[in-house]
Amino acid sequence: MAKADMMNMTGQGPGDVVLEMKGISKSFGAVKALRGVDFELRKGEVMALLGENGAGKSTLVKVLAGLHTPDSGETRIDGKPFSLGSARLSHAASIAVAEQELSVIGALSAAENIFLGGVPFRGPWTRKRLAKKARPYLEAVGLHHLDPSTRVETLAVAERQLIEIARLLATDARILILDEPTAALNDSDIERVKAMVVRLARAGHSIIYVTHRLGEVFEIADRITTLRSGQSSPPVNVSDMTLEKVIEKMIGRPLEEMFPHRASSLGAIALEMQGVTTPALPLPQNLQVRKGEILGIAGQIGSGSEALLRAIAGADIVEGGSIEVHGRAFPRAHSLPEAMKRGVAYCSSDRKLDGIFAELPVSTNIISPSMQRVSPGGLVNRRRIRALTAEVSSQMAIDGSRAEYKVGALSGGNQQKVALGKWLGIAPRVLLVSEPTRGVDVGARAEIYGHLRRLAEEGMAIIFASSDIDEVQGLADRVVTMYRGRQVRVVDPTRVTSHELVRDITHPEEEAA
Amino acid sequence: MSDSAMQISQIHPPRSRRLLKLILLAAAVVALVALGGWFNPAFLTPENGLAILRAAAMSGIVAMGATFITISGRFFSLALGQTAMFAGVFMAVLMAQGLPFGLAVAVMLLAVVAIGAVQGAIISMGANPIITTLGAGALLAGLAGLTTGGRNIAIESAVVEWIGNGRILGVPTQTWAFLVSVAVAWWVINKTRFGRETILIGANRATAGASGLNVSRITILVFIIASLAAAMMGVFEAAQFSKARVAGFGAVDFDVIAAVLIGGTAIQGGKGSPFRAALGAVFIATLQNYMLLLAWSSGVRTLITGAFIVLIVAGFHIAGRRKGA
Repeated sequence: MAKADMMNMTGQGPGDVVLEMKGISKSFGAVKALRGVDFELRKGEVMALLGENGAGKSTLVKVLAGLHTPDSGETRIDGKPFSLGSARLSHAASIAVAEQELSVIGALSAAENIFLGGVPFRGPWTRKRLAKKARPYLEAVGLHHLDPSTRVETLAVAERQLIEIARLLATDARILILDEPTAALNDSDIERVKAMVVRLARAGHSIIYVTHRLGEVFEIADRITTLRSGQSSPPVNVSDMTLEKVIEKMIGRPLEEMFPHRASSLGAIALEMQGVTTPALPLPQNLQVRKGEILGIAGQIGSGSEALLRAIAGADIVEGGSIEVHGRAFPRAHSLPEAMKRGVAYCSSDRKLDGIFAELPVSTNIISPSMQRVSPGGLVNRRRIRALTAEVSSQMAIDGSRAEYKVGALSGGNQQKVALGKWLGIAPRVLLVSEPTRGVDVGARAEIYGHLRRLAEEGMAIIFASSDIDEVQGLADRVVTMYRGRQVRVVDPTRVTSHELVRDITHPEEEAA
Repeated sequence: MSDSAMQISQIHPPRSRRLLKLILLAAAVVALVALGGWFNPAFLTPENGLAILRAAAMSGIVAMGATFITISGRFFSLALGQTAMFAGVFMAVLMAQGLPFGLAVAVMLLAVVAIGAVQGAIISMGANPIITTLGAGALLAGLAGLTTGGRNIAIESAVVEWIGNGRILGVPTQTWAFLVSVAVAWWVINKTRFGRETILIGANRATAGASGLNVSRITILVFIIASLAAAMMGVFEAAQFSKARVAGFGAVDFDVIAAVLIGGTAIQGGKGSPFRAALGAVFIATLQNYMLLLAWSSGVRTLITGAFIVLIVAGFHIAGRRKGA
């Protein structure tokens, strides 16, 4: 649908309130997920919806999507009372939601995905007609060049995300809810999505934008609504806010320093790699890290920053070169258990995939790398399990009363603390962490940075890989920037600007060429 | 960002739900026995009780081994019935060649360990367990058929005769073996490192590997254990009539899988209980015994058994969800 049509169809000027919610409450058993939330959305604006995990964002989004029926409160659409409560009603209110998890179907074409909810014409369903109908929606999300018959599984993640949004447009929705649309994207793809959001707002759509990336808010949002413990605060203009103020609103207390202090003194060389190559890293890699040091490797997804950690951890096959920990070389057949024996622990970037056992209790997760330690002679020793669980819980500030809870039920921050903390059981000398705070709230982030610094001060050498430049610059004592499988340079993070770091890892002039 | 409704259902400590499953299952067995006794007093005699336990022992022993496969996240094996048959036939063939019982059993067990290890190794390299074990089962059936020409092989041995029909303290040997298997399986799962590691690789294989566990080794061991349990059943089966049969093992895999599932072991792995699988085997044996006493036709018996399995498994599913909502 062309942009001009959109404007005509709604028949309103920009700035009118299209959605108004008052006193929305929703409880699940004893848990009050929403307690009298007020929310308002104007025509043509981007409203950022912010809050920590568990603050109620998801519940509010689901209420709007018709997946949860609110217990009380009233909703007005275009000033008229409207009762939400089913997906059909939400559709009638022209609300559409793009969920966090992509729901496009890979085996279908872009056009077929766009019209999953219903075909916009009578008569035969030919590929050609479908493609023709899909074209305007693809253009609206900036996918001008895409052939509508392309199978979606062959597309990049960002393009799939854009198709998901195109699908919302095809439902003629005026109120679009985007739930963390950029969570799985890399920097250049994020730019495409952000540009598209701004375009849609200009075209008269009202957009609720849920995100964890606070930087985005200042680039594209007009106003901010924050939720905390199921309660809302009145919307504020982005232009009146600073990042610090937003974070304080979200966590409800003044933000102490996000990042801990830097290392005051470094010890002996803890790890040294020379000329290491792996299938993912054909160019030889050198790296050195000292006891007490936190080394940050900055790079986008696929830049090789994570592959570097995997090489050290024994998770990837090392084809050439040498790795030494505390002066002792790894054997030729380097493997993960071998690396663990030498005191190397590796916490991957995708904790749900291979970092935690979501269905098992916290204590079982914590002991998983330390099975020998808690089961001498092959027999499980309950006392040792309890002792190790208690030790790790107190070190990482994990609520001890939750030792028997499933890890999957904890917040992202607590999950990450378990994924990190489980390695303390093997007393690692080198701790490798990929994306240390992915999917972790701002408040818990500062806590994890603090834990990493403390572990370094206790004599560990820590190497982390991250695509979050602020994190690399704020936490690391030394930074290695990576781009397409090679190390660009090694810098002191206090002596470079974040723009320089971004340039190192994106090489914009090369990308443009 | 996680959905709050989900959170509530998940923060319940798992213990209460495990207990609920056990109570549900025990209640089903008790109800069946009470109902059976009410309508048919012959059902409640001690002698019939022992017969039920003996019948339950056959699939129950195998179910103890199969539980390990399911907990380890490899669904189930479709080769266990054929492994049992092969074990009985192989032992009988060796004994027919003049080997004493002890030696024949030892050689047979070595072969069974190899059979389990090969399947485990293939599966740990990424092959689908259902397809792999289906193939292995056909292979074993073919092998046994080839060597015996499809004929049953008689065993002449007083020891074997006793194993098949002897009693200790008035209780059949099979029942003792069943009880011991349950105790051993429970102990291994709950008290040993290997048992914990089996749960871990079933809960999330990738995380287990990333935590330094040797996933292949554990998988191979799991299939060896299941194969040994099947071999044990094969020996009892052959011993009962002093002859090794090449047919009649078709329903074993079904009974075993049904016992494991009725026991509430999650088919996706990571949790399960040998104890409840044993109760599941007892339940099925009780039901079948009762229907035999009523002289119902085999079609009706199969139909009702199937209906009960679906009912109980669905019941667990609903109970598991209700708990949290």
